[in-house]
Amino acid sequence: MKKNRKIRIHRIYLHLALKKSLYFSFFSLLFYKASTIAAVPAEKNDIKGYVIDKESGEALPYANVILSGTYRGTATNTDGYFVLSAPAELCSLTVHFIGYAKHQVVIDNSKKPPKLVQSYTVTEIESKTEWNKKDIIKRKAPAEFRDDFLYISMQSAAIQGEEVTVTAEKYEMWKSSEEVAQVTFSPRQISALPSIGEPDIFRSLQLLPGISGVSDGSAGLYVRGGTPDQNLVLLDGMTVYHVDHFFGFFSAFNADAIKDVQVYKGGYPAKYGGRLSSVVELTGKTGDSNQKRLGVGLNLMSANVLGEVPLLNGMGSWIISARRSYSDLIGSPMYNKLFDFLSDTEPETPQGFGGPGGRGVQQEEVRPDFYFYDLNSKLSLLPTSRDILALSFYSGRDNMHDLQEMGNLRFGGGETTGTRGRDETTDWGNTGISLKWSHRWHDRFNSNFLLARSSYFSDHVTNLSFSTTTEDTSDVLRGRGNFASQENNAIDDFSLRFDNDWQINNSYQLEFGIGAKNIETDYIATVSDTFNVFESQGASHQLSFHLQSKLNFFERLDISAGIRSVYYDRSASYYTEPRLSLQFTVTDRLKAKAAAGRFTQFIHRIVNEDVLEGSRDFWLVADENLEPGRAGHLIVGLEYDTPGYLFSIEGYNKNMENLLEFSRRFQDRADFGGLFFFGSGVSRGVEFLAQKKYDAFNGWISYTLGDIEHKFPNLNNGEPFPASHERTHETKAVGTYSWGRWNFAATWVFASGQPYTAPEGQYNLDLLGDNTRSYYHVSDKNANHLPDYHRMDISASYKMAVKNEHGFDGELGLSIFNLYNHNNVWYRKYDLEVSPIVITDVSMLGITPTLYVKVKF
Amino acid sequence: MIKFPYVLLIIFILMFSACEEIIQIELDDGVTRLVVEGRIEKLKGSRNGYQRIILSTTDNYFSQVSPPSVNDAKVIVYDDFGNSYPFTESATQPGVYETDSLFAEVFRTYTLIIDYDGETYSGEVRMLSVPPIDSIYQEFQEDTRSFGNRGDDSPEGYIAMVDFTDPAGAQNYYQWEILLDGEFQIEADPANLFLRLQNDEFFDGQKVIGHQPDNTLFLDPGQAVVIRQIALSQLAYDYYSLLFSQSAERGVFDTPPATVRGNVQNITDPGHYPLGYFSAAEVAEAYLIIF
Repeated sequence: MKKNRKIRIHRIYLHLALKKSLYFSFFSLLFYKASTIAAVPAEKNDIKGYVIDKESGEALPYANVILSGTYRGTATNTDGYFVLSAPAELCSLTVHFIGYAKHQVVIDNSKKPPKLVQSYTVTEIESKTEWNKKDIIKRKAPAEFRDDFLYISMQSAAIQGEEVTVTAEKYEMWKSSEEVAQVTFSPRQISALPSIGEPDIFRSLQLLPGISGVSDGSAGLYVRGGTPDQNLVLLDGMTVYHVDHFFGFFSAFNADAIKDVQVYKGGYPAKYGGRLSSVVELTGKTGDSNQKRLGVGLNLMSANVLGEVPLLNGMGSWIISARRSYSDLIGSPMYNKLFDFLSDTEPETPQGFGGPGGRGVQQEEVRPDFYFYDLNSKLSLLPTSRDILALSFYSGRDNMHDLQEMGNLRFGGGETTGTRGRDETTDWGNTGISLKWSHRWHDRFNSNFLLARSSYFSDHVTNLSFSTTTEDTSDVLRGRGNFASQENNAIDDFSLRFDNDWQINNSYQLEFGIGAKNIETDYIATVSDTFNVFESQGASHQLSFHLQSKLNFFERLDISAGIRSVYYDRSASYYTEPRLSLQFTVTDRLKAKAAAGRFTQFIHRIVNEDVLEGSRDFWLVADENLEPGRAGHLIVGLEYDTPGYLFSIEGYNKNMENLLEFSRRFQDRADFGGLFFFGSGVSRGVEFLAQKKYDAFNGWISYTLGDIEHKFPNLNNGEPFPASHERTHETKAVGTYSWGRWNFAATWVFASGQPYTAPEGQYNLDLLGDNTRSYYHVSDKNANHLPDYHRMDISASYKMAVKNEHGFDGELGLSIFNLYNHNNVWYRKYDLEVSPIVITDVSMLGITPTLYVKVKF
Repeated sequence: MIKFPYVLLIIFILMFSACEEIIQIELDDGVTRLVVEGRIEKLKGSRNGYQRIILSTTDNYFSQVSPPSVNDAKVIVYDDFGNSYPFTESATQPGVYETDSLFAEVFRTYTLIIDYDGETYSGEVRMLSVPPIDSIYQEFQEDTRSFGNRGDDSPEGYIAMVDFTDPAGAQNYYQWEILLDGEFQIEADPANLFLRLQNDEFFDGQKVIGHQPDNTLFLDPGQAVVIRQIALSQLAYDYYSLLFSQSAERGVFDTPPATVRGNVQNITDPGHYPLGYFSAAEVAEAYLIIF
């Protein structure tokens, strides 16, 4: 009886909605009064509360809270808070947070205040009897009502003090979220994956479909044909510009200090802006509000320490984590290996100074002093039940100092002796601070006020000096010389944001906010202290406004329509960025998703290709000459979700305008300043994914087919060429297996070779009048492809737990990178000085085993 | 528990054993392309000029011999009146195609058609007028900054220079050549770019006095110098500039240099484009014997 009635209502509303939606323009969607549709007759009460970690009391952001038996639900906000209106009867909520056991609470919602009836975790394991069916294990789990707020304590898959509950249970490492191209990633689970050095968030993200790491020596994310600088990386609201350490080998974030990672591979919502490709939002841990904790970790490259302190009787907490490499203090073979990889040391051919005829050439192989560190600290306070204050601090820095002195050099048959010195310092880092105040005015209305400042710097100083003495029979000649060059780049980013979130009802949510941003960049390249090769200073101001409304129709269709408008003072223009995202639940297993949007980027990163000078890429704010980059995304996808598996297909198309290339080679044809070229690009692709979500053995296989076509009027004769980070085919397979306290994982990555430009032949001309000269003809830009890339990594980790009064948890992990030592070509090097010319392939990392140990008290 | 130090030891041993490899590879031969060097010339104040088209091909860059010349091409130049001037290969210089029937004129458009290896190539230029050299003279100079052509530490000697008047209003592009005792000077090195090529951005419509095509060429009495002042189109200027920047002595480089494409197209297969340039230039010449 009841069921029939429900169906009839749906029909009526469908009719109404279809009719209305025809008349609704894009903007009217934003202000649409959902109450006209979503009025369901039954009496309703709100259930509000928090989703927290059972162990630390840490609030869990972006957890899904679903009213069981419906498709209706909500997600917690960054403070772990949710509100949901539910029928005034017995109802059940299912809470899902990645890396944690699914939690169900049964509530008697007819009472005021509502009463908790039951609370348990739900573990699904593969059925022993029937394929693709689940056996469900329910265990009692904590949840309680405190001051009308429901606190749901989630249990993580990680080791839990005395009792090790890890058996055959295994929770997802990442999952595709509600919106198309959105991925929720769990830092708790990544230690299961193979790594270089230690578990690393960005390196792990490179294993997801559509996200590539183009070199072994880079933690940069190339998201669907975008470049790393087109990713908005936010840590507790502050923009981070320096996202990696050691020229890209490690990401700059200590995985132990991060609790949640949200990745939007495109088509992201209106509250984000300022980047063309993607958003990576990292939420730092707030720290344990119940007890003090201390963790230490050690690997072959660095050591880290993490402390958590509860404050004011659970009214606040403080977390601090620090990490530093120790290769400058004590030798680290890992460092030596990685450095040799980066510096392309050729042991067999020591290059002599002095050229042919030089005798007794002495070359010392010196590895420079190097260190990096990062520090995360977050202070959280809950002065009232409606306010949260969080002060977050991040500082990361890399420093390399290379001092080489060579004495007793002999040239020209021995009459000339000399010394040569080289003193090179590269120093770069990012410091940021953010203060966030979130206030709940009403159960359904939240505001966040954020003040953030982020400063990035990169300094590079080289001093070369030489002195020579020539002794003739009659004369002594002395020579002395000095050459200094310096490059400095700095960014100062100051942001103010006021974001609001109004959950009008279960089917209608409104987000709106305003923001102001001030970015200053400064770049200067100097030779010998006097001659400025290039100098650019810029300050810019942005004022932005965004409005986004999320509507749900008949629990099946979610429409999220938004608009972001930015005024940028350097171009004195308004940039309007509409955003739209749709999800349609066809059946409980099949979902269709789509998204579209426009995006603008007001800061350019100028890429300097020399690898050891990775940090010498520099940032400049967009101005009258360097126009802001613009992009348009279109994404469509289908997702089939069974109890144990997820299958998905996603197609994307990304148009990019005002892309920038920087070259010192073709100064006469450059579009601006003799150095910059402007162009546009299109990136298209399809991603296929099959994921096995749970159980002892789980993992995923993905395949991406994509191309990136760039078109620069003054490069390659204006003809389109493939971008140098294009990987036409990319396949990734990840499998993890847990067995008691052990966890094993293997990953395999295959990618077609990246395009490159190569000399193709030589020819002679005497057009220039002096003599016949030989020239090298170079192929069209990126017309050749390197050999295919593939590698397999494996890892094993072991979880320890000691059960006594000084009990501790720990983890020991071993990884082997590039297990079968495949010779992946990084780039091809041409030596045209000799004849016939020599071509060498410079390889990426060979087999590299690493080890880490982590202990937490 | 695992015996931790032993594991570590094994790993350290493994780390040292893995090393980076740099291997030699072999590449397929690149595509062979036609190389065209053509110049239609007219001396200012004269009907004469030396007309020649040099054809060769690119060669595999592993080879140590100079790239082969092209011997069996059909080369014809048409002017905009429809007259055709066939070029025939020189009996003494292989790959050099010449004619003595073409007397070029300024502001006339010339079209080069080459039939070679089953493909047709075409290039078009308009001969621009060059202002005359008003005067040529010498001046004694010493230079303490640089080494001269004779390798002296502080060279001194006579520098040859010219005066000329740039036509006002028009964009003009110049190329200079300087010949000492019949030999071309000024090395085609990027550092000499501004000696060889200039546009009139900074002297449009002005009389330029004392232009030194080579300010490091120190001359002695008795030496004979010819200075040639050549009019270029903007396209030719860009091409020569780029070619200049590509003429540096090359060392090891990771990012290969640029492709320099000229104004000759392959009509049959546009992707198989030729290299080189077809230009038409009026040349003003002046002659001086240092005294």
